[in-house]
Amino acid sequence: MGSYIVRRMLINVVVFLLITVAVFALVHKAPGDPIAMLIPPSELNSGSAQFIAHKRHELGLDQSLVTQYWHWFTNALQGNLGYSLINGRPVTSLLGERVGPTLELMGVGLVLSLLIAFSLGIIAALRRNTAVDYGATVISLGSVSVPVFFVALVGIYLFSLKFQLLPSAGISDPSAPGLIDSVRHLVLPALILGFGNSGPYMRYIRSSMITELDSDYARTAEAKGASRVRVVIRHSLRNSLIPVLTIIAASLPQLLAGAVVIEQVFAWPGMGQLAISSVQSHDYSVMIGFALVIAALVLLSNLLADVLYTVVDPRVRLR
Amino acid sequence: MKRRKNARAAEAAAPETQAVPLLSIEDLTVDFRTDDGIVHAVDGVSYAVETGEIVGVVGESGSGKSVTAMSVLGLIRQPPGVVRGGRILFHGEDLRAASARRLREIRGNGIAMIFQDPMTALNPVMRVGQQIVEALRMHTDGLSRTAARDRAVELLRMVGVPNPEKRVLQYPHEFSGGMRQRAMIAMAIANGPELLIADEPTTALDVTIQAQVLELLRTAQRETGAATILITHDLGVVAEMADRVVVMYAGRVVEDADVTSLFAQPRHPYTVGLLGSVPRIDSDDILASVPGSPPNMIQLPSGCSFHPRCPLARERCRTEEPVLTDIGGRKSACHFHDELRAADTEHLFAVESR
Amino acid sequence: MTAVRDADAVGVPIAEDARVAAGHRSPIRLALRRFRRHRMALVGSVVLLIVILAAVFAGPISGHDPNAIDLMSTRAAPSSQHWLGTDSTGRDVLSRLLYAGRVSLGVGLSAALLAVLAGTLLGSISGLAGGWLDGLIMRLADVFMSFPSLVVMIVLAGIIGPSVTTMVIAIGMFQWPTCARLVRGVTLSLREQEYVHAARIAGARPAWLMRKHIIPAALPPVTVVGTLAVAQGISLEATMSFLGLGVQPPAASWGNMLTEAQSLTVISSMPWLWVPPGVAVAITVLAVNFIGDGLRDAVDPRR
Repeated sequence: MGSYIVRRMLINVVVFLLITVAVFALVHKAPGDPIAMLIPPSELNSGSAQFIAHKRHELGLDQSLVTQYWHWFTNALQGNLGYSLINGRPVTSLLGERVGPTLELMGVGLVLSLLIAFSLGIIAALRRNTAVDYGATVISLGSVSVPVFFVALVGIYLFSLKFQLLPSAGISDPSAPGLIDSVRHLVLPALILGFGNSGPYMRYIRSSMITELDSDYARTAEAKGASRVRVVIRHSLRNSLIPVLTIIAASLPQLLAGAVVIEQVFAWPGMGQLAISSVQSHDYSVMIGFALVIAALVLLSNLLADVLYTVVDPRVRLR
Repeated sequence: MKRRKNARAAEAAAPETQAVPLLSIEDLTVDFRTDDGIVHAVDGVSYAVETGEIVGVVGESGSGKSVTAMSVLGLIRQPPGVVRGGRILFHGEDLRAASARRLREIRGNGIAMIFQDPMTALNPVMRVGQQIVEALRMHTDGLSRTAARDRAVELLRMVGVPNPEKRVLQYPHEFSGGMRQRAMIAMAIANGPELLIADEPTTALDVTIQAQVLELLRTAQRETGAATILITHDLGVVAEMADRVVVMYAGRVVEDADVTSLFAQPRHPYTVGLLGSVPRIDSDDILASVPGSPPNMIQLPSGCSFHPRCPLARERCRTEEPVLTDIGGRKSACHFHDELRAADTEHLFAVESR
Repeated sequence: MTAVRDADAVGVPIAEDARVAAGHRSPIRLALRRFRRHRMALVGSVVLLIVILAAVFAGPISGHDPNAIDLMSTRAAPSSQHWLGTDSTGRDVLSRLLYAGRVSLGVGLSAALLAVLAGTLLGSISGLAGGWLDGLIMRLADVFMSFPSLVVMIVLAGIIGPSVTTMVIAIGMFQWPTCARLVRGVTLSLREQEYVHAARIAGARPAWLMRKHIIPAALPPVTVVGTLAVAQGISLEATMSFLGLGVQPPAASWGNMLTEAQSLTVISSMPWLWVPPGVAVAITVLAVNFIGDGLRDAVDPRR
């Protein structure tokens, strides 16, 4: 197991580095002078030409691309991602204050999507080929097909406007903050994100459960006197969980994509909303910082998936 | 031989207690709904098993032998299966009418089952010991985990798994094929069942291991005094192990006799054919096989299902379905079973001479 | 040590045996099954056909110019003159809806086509070449597959600027790995076949092999993948245009028609502005997915 993990890690790291090169290429493709992204606007505006030239040299902007990449990359690793073109703040702190809400949304969204997927998947497997199964399949297809933003709009229409149950935007009400208020703001976005994300899981869980329920060892368990419930949970479900975990880890980037859209529709102050507003305002340094974050996230989720794959299946673990 | 004598002796000694067989399958019918029609997998099957008796159930694929056995424990999935009729009496109690709860009590406890392929029949991601423990704890209230584990180790030792303390913590894929089957047997006898159903227990094993596992089954049976239904398509196994033989064809019982009588004097053409196809050390003859192919289970032949392939077939066989009749301590479902009594059955199925 | 699947065992094996015994072989079964699943695929095909026809005959159906601005009647409710009302600059919603169908379908189709072409090419090269080239291509495929297409497209739109071409290329870029994997698998299994061996010994060039053997064999599963890619493409385009990063106004796309719905007043009191395009995307993508599902069942030899 050890060598497998190490090998996968190396591959993932190499891929990550290559991605950073690609991102770096974007830095240069972007219109405008790279220097504007790399030093605080205060310095840019007030500094003399000499000062700016000096800075340019310091940041390696007058040297070969490779050196530039090196400067940029090492800076990034130290947490210096340049400065926003719009408000001059360091990109890292901008992203930093947005990470929390996004993680919150993604986390709760993931949990909800699993709840939905598992309930639908298990019921569909138990009531195979009946109307219930059919309905569950249609729901999961709907989750995959109907764009998340449209579901969000419909959700807002129903729950915020028609039934006046939940707020339609933001993360909290500044005039009446509190736990309940936060939860009320979180429910709709997380629920819709969860629904949109549940489709692929549900299909997988359904087919996995069917295989498990039909398996010879499920039959053996029944022959030993286990109740149907016990067979479902202790044997079938447990065996289904194993591959599902790996899939979850591998689809974390998809979850982020959904979160970005949800944040936009619900004006949720997370990284996704920042990314979109930076695109609309041509704030290149923020965009590039965001690109690096995505690359890192993909790297981490792939690593996690690889680790889980080996840890969780004893057949692989003992190889 | 000895077993049969004991059974007979017991019968003579206490006729009342033997009046009710341990298990009695009466007129069981099981259909399967498929896209192409309804498969009559089991069509009015009846046979009984006495306490301590080993009954070998033989037949080719599709004969219904496994389905019958699985129906005993209610393991047929409905749909697509449908248990249409009949009774399954265990100690006089109809299992078909039993509640789900009662069935669960009996499974793994009063009646235990051993399946064909131990690799797939054991949960691959659960430790072997854990699976045996599960069987134990489900039927013994208040059994602590430690006590159960100790018992599991004991059971593994009993079935001949070397180094059981270590093995009990391992996963099925770390066991060899023969050892896996031993573990399955351990799991089955864990709660001291009165009836063991072994569904082709050695088919998936190497020939050398087969003998060992059969020996183990025989020992287990002797030690626990359990009755056994041994399902197989291998007549050699039956000759070696069984007290009595039930021959099935196309979902029906065609012959039911004690093992000696059956082999000495089969009273159904199909049985003759099966016996003829068993290679014998003392004979040079080409093996005679039953001509034709297994019947279409959706549309069985009229009258006697075997008639298209039977050398004795006549008009009556085509129109009238033979009933399983008592013929002096044994049963046969052939209109013309009498003709087989004195016949030279070795050449019943014509063989091209060499 | 093979496990003998006794036909007595419960469930499917008996059915298999019975079918064989009853003389029914695979192709008929395949057709039967296809028909059964076909309910969904049939519905999907009908719906898709309607959508395509509506898009093609957009002009005659709606009778309006989708870009005709009429500042006198902005955001007007549906009427006999404008069946689905008008948008914020007075353009007829229905005609925009229908013309937008062309854009969305076009983008989805072209992106899928691109993905299938690139995927087939790379997949067959990968399978035929083997060795380091195979490893490299598959590694590339892994990378592209693990990236969230939407997010990357957002960044690209930011740096390069939003455009339909960029979008089509970007969508195609993230869809090719699935196709490539598939074709590679087909190639690998074909490589072992006798007649391919013979052909190669006789000096057949890879391109010929691809054309004559690989493509016909890979066609059924690739069709499935392609169909699902179309659905993905339409969905992605709608989302990007909704975010303002895809098809730019005044060109109509279902996605950018929904951008207007980012105001609460529109959502609550002007449903004709946002419900039609949303429903249009939803049912189109659903329909294509239904078809893809049906195709997948028809093509899958295992079941």
